[in-house]
Amino acid sequence: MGRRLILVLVPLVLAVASLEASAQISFTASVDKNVVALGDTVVLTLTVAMSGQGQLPDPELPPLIGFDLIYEGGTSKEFSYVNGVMTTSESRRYVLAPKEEGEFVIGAATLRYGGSVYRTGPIQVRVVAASQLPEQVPTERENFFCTLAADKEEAFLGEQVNVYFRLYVRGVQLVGEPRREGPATEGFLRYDLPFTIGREIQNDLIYEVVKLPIVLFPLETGEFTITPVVLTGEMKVPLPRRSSPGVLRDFDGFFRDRYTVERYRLVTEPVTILVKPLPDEDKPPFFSGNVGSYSFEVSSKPSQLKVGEPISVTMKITGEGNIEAVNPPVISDIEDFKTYEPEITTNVVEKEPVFKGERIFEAILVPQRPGRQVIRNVAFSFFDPEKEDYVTLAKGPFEFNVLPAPVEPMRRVVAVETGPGKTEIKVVGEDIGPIFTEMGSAGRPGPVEGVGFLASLGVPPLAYAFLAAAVGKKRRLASDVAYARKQRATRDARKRLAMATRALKRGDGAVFCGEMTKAVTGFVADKFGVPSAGLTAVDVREKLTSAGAPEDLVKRVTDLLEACDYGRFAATAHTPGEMASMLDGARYVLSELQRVLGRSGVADDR
Amino acid sequence: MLLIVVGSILLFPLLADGEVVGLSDEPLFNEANQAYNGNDFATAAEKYKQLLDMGQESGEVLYNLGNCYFRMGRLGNALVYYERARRFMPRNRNLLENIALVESRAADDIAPPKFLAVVSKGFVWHYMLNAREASLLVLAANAVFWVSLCVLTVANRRFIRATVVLFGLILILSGCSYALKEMERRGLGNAVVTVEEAAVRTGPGDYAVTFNLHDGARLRLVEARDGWYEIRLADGKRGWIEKDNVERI
Repeated sequence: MGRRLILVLVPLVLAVASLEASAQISFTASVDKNVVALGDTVVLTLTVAMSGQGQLPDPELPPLIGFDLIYEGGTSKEFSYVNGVMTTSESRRYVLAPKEEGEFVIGAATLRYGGSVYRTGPIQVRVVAASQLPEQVPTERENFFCTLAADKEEAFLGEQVNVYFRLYVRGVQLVGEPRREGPATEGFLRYDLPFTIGREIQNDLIYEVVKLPIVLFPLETGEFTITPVVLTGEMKVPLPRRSSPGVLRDFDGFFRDRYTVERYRLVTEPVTILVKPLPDEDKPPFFSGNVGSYSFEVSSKPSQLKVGEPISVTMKITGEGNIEAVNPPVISDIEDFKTYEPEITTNVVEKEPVFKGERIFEAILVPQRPGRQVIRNVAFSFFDPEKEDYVTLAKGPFEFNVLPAPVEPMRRVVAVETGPGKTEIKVVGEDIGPIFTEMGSAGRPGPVEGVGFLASLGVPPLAYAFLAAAVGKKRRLASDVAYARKQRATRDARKRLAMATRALKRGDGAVFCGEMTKAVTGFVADKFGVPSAGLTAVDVREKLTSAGAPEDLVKRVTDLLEACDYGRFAATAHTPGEMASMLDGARYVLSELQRVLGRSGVADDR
Repeated sequence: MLLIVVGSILLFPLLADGEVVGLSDEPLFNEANQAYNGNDFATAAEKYKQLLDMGQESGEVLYNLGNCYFRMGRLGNALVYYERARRFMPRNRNLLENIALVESRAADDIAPPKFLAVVSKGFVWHYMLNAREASLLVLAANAVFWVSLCVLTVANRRFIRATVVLFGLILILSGCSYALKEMERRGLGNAVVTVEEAAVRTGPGDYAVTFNLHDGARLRLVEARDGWYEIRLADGKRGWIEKDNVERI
């Protein structure tokens, strides 16, 4: 019974016997197992199918040698229409229990209808001891396994690849949700779709199949391995039955499951996919990586507008491929337009077996100048992996009549007095001022610079410096007598010498000597700041010696003074030649005294 | 009288500076104006730019070009040309109002610190004079100051003392203004953002974005490096911006 429950998914037909049937009646018999353990049961199914209308006849059971009829398991009816003809079939199930071990034959069942007799073929059943029957633990390969497979082994970069993970289950009861690890899909953009449950026939066996689709879009070229899926979990494993026969004990077991829970681990094989690069040949210059098969529509509005108003260009891409990653088309001739990032809307209709949908780009263009503006074309390029070629779709031209912009409402910006000495710029309008109608003077707005600039900066302070020095000197001369005498000493000495020269020319020896004496003593008196009157040659010697004048100079000065003294009192003491020599001597000593006692030389005033 | 004579003599080499407009460029200017009045601002801008390329850089041409950009909605470019026109005509009322209008429409509100705003108001003459006028003021103040000082040396009069103090003060202030203008002229100067939006990053390259600036934002250029400018805003913020996103004034 427990085994019967396990087989609730789909009963397995191991042996079918068919009978020659009339064109209208088919009568078949089958058992659910050809090998049965003593103590177990076997289900005999008699199926009557009749085409056309009519009451189905009841079959007659065959002789059941070696078996007891436990009960009739029920009747199921089925109706079908094939080529306009209705067919009715009825299946009756009989549960039999073997009496003893051995080889038995379930004889032919009989059906009488319309004067004809229909019989099924004999069915062989082997009854064995319970211990001789293999454990009914599902093996991985037979009743419980999983696979991982891709719908293609090679794909272009960006081309859709579908990978399917399938879990096959037959006669196995899982405990809880299985735990899945993987697959890893490095190098791909991946979309995991919801799983589906269905039935598949593998090796004539019906399986319940859980299918998990994974949609991949390759992001890189090369060979990639999709790692295996590992599925782990727990499942119920039925325990073998006790070998003692007996309907009652079996009846008891009929209502009580006997199983254990075991862990399982299923691993698929990895999947390798080769991703090929897109060809370089014939690649459009503005190709942006779109792969698939698409159609393309473009519309724009309005066609007449003013400068500064927007134009909406709607570009719709529809088709198969990774529609969510489609890049926008290229609009030509937009140099005179201000452009903004397009608004994008994507609608995916289906993802597997083919990703398909539509993607809409709405671009805004704002014309910057009036007149007739033309966009020659809007182009969209993609690589079609089916054709293995690039496709470029272009729409256009699109023409627009752009009128001049309207004059904006006036709002002036003015400087407003907000307080004493304070002004604030306030916006009282929205327009800028008018343009200038006169071109004005072109010139350099930069600062004045260069040599002229530096000279203009430097000359005034220099002039002031000279003036200040001169005025200062003048003031000192007026206030400082000693300083003034020193400054005047040379000039006064020159005057005296000039007078001596005139006296020399007149031949007036006394005056000549007197002026000579005044020149020398007056010079020394001015330099030393002492009264010149009464300054004798001895005094001069002392002054000069104390000032560190050279001895020979001091001697020449005193000799000159003595000679002048002699000449003053003796008019004919010196000849004109001697007086000329004395004059030169005086110039010399004054020059030397100037050098020793102060600056400036004595000019030649002869 | 002496002051005027001496001042004129000292400034004479500089007063004869300047160039005279080429009358042959007037037709192009008139064509540009006609295009502007016909609302063909792009054509008008092209013609004003031709005049600039030909060396006819005047405050009027720069102002008109700024108007063209304003009409085309390009606030940053408008502000650049208005500021360039300001070097020629710093006290033109229409120009100042246009600049205020552009600034009021700029997306970024960058307010300087309060004390800086107060200082700016205190030194209003710095903004009322262009660089040339500032340098001429320095020369004039310098000449009058030193001549006054010379006169004071020989004739110590009260009004001459007052003249010396007054022009000494003018000399100092105008000298500072001139020095600031010179520093600004010889450095990278100022610039304006001329794109819709520009990212300001922490470094010159693929660094993190700290904030964004928009068309018409004013900034001071601190350093240039590898296609990037280091900038400083009036509110003290600093960062790096791509050269293509700004235009120097």
